Amino acid sequence: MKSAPFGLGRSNRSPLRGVADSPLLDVNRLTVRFGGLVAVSELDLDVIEGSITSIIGPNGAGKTTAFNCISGIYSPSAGSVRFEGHRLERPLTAGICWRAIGIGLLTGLLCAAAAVDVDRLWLAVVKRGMVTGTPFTLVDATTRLRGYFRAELAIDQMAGKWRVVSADGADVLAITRELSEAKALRNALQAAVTARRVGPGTVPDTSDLADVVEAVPGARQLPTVKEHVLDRLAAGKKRIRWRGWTGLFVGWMLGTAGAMAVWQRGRRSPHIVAQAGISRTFQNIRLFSNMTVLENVLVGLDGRIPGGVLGMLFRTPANRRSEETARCAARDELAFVGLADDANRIAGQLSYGDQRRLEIARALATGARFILLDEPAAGMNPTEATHLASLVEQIRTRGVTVLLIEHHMNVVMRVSDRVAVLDHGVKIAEGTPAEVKRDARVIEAYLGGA
Amino acid sequence: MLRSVAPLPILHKSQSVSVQFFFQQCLIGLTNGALIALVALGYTMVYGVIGLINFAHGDLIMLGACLALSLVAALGLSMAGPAATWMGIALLVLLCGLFCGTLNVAVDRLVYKPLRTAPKLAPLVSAIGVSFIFMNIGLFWIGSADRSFPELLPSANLLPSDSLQFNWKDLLVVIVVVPLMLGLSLLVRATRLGKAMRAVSQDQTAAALVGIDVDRVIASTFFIGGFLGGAASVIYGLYINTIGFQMGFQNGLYAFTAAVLGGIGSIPGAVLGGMVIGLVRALSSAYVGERWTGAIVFAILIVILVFRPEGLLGRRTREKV
Amino acid sequence: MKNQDPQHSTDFFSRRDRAYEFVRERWDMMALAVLAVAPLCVPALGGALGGQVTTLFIYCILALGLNVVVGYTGLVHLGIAAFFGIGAYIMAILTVPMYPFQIGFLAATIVSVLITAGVGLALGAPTLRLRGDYLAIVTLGFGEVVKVTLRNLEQITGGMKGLNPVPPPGAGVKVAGIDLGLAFAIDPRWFYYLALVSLAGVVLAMRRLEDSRLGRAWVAVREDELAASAMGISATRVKLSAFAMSSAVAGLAGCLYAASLSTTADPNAYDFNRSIMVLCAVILGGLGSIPGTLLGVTILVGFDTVLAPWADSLIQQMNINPSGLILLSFSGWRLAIFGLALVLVMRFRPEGLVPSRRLAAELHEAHP
Repeated sequence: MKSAPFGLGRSNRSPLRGVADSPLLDVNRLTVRFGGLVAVSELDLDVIEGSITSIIGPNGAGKTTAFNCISGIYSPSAGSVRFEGHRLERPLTAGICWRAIGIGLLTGLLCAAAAVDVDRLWLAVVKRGMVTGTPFTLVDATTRLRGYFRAELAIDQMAGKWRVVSADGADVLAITRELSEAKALRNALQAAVTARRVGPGTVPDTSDLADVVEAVPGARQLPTVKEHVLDRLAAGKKRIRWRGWTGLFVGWMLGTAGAMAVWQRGRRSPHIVAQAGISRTFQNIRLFSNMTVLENVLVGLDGRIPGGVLGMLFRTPANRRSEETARCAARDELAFVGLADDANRIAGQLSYGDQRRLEIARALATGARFILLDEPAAGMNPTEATHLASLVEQIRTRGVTVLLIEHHMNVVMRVSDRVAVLDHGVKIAEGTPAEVKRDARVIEAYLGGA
Repeated sequence: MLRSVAPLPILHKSQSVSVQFFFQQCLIGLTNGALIALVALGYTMVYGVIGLINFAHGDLIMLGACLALSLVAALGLSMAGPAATWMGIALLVLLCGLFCGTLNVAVDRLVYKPLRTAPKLAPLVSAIGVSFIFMNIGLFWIGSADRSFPELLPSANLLPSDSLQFNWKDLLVVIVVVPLMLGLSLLVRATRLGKAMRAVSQDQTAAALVGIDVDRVIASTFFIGGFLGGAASVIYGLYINTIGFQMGFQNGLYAFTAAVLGGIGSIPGAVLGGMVIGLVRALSSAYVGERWTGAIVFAILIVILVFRPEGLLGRRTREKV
Repeated sequence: MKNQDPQHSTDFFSRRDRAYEFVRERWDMMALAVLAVAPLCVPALGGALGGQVTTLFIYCILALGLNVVVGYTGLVHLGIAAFFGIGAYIMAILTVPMYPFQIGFLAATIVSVLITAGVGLALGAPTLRLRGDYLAIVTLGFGEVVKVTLRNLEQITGGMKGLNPVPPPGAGVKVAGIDLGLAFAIDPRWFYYLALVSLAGVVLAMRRLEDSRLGRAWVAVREDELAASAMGISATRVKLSAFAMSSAVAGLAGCLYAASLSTTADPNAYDFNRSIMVLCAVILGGLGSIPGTLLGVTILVGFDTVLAPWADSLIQQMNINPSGLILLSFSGWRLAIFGLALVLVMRFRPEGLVPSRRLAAELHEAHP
């Protein structure tokens, strides 16, 4: 649907900043279905920057549903919403992919640690270094770590004796009193184990061979170790590597996929729409009713207050300044809607009309350039409604574009540049207030078929 | 001095990895899962209707098991002949079911009903409080030590093959659980009460407006959930053979996990979730080690919630704006 | 707040609030002063009592951590003890003589707090986006898993024996000729002061957070997640920050706990009961209220360590219960008393003993 420049000249209109053929908000064939019910059907709507556009229609026409779609609360079943030419979704950037891969890697490491038995790993890397008196340096720890993944035999201490054990400490092969003897034994046994490693994928490592060379002079007699134990020890290397890599791979896949799934679900969210510059009020007022009026507006300002957690904890001068600035800004916002005197009252105790105005102040505080007002004049008397109408016009004067849902025809006809009429989810008319007022289909929708 | 050391007897994994062993574990898992599902139904029904995580449900079942233990002693069931035993078990299921159902309704009336309009945290915390009170009652009832539940059923294998074991206890689980579940799904699908329950779970106010007695529907839900829990408690005693005043927490945790896994609020979901948890428990106990079972079940819960936050059979809910 | 007359002017409100704040501030300062002077006047604090009070302070820190998630952000967290335990164990692993790290109390505390916050983030990131109720089961399950894992990783955590001895803070550091570690080991008052200073620091930090952007965002998310989200606040991030903050504070409490007991104790010290205990304290005292939380912990710990043993010994002296029946012992009723307290508080005073201003109104408000 092509947007037309609005026709009626009005004295208090702010200068147009948008270009007529690139609307600020472009709703294209938006469809929302709830189960079998089509709440909004192929809605086209363009909103030009600096304008006030109203959506009217009988109850249940799908106005609020359209609003919820624009503000990211619902996902459309079909069609798109573009704001300043961008879709209101978090784009898939390289950073997100890298983060997902990083999360996957962490998950993978966790799974790998579980798969190779982190308990035994700790025993091999940390505890054995302590008992054999090897200093705990990064190099030593890495050596022991490699030893674990090669399923090398190790020396362990228990009750004043030295034991030659498998890397994970589960098999004890020999016990002796002397450390030197234990070392010699370990090397000899390691040689025996290494010699069993035959077949593809179990070619002895150079380090294993070095052990063999060193082993020969020290060893006097090998303890008898059963054949199947030697076989098992020889296969240990293959097994632990297989476990480690499988754990890493499975965890990595799961972690990455999970991170992407979580991202995908959080793609469309009201806060992304709000951060893009669209703010809204709600048909059934949704204030933080137990916070003060000022705090409500400060929550709206949240995204514009700089500073991190440490600043808040240590209450740095910068943090104090930004809080003070925010409070001033919040008071300005309150003054704008006429609630300056109620700053410290509890929001829930305000009158109905004041609550609606506070919602507008809170929405404006986000710094939005586009604001969705859902029946702001609902429940107001004619005087209040008139005040509200001028407030809406003032909002426009600030350079904020307004999209309005309203049943008060006086308000709609007074402030709107364009009016779209919805009935049963379908847009039945669009144009200037005067055009819409004359439209036969609109009259029929409101008054019922003749 | 050198000494040869005999290799430690380590159970080889390859010995246990056989097809029969696997099927046996699956069978154990499914039987356990049926039991978990029965408990999970109590959680899911109450959650579905009033959105409350009924923390006291596990401890309610513990109380049911206490009653079952006392009744077995009182009726002298451990001496009875086979026919009398089966009659006695049927009586136990009925009595414990009625007891737990009534207790559940009473708790709802006294504790949760006044909090119907309060924020969600209030009934949840009250449920934790009720669970404490139940635990204390259980402590007084059977003492602080675990008690063994008498073996009432013969342990003969019902299957012709030697490698697969399926004995009377397993059969008991099946013949109690399956009819109860079928009855429940019939009740929810086809009766007026079931229709009312579904209506109340959708929107309490609207249900009240069309003339449904919301309080009665909620009470019935508590009763049915409690009845199923009472039945589960008897089977639990006969199947696991050990009860203690703290058993409610562990069992409640598994059952609630099952309910969440299947999609909380969904009755087939609770059954599926229970089966999945039962299988995972049995297989991980057999292949990884019993002590890690809890961690594995929990890890699987997290993974499933990441990919399907509404649970396996749950429906996605939209917030009303 | 709802009960107040509507005709109160805004002026009155701000004045009343200011007076209230003033009293509260003074009350804190007075309490701090009394507690700071107490060890010098009360010799008993140099003995076993000092250790008990130190533990009380540590539980206060833990409860303040939990209060961030449950009180401010309104999420149900049933596994705070897991983070407490992780903090304690990391402290132990990094300082016990059987492991090569031995990096000292301060460094270990920092590392431990960072790691617990990281664990909180890792647990929260996939689960906090879910429906609010799921968090209860996730934290509950996590608490169980941590307990079981601590028990099963025997090589790392020492299994049921736990890790010990955790050296006292400042071991080997000499200040003016006194070995600090020795001083901590001999006189419990050193730990008393360490815990008191930490508690005061945490209270101050919580106050500041309450009154800053993050604190407002927490409360906004609790009150209306959708509205907060529509104001550009990422509800997930806010909840995640609360979760991480609470984990970090719990980790700090765990560090102090391990150091003050000089052991991690066995993993069962960090089970569901501990989590629920702390949750009860927060709820009883008043969700989201700092003085309430402190009072709640004091009452519950006082009940467990002072009242229950006293009543038990009284019953024994009066010879009512010669056969040792559990029904007739006071501590046998412990669970029922806690349970009843929770039910009654939720029924009649859901805002707790010292309610926070914000929550009082919210809990009395009828949600249709």
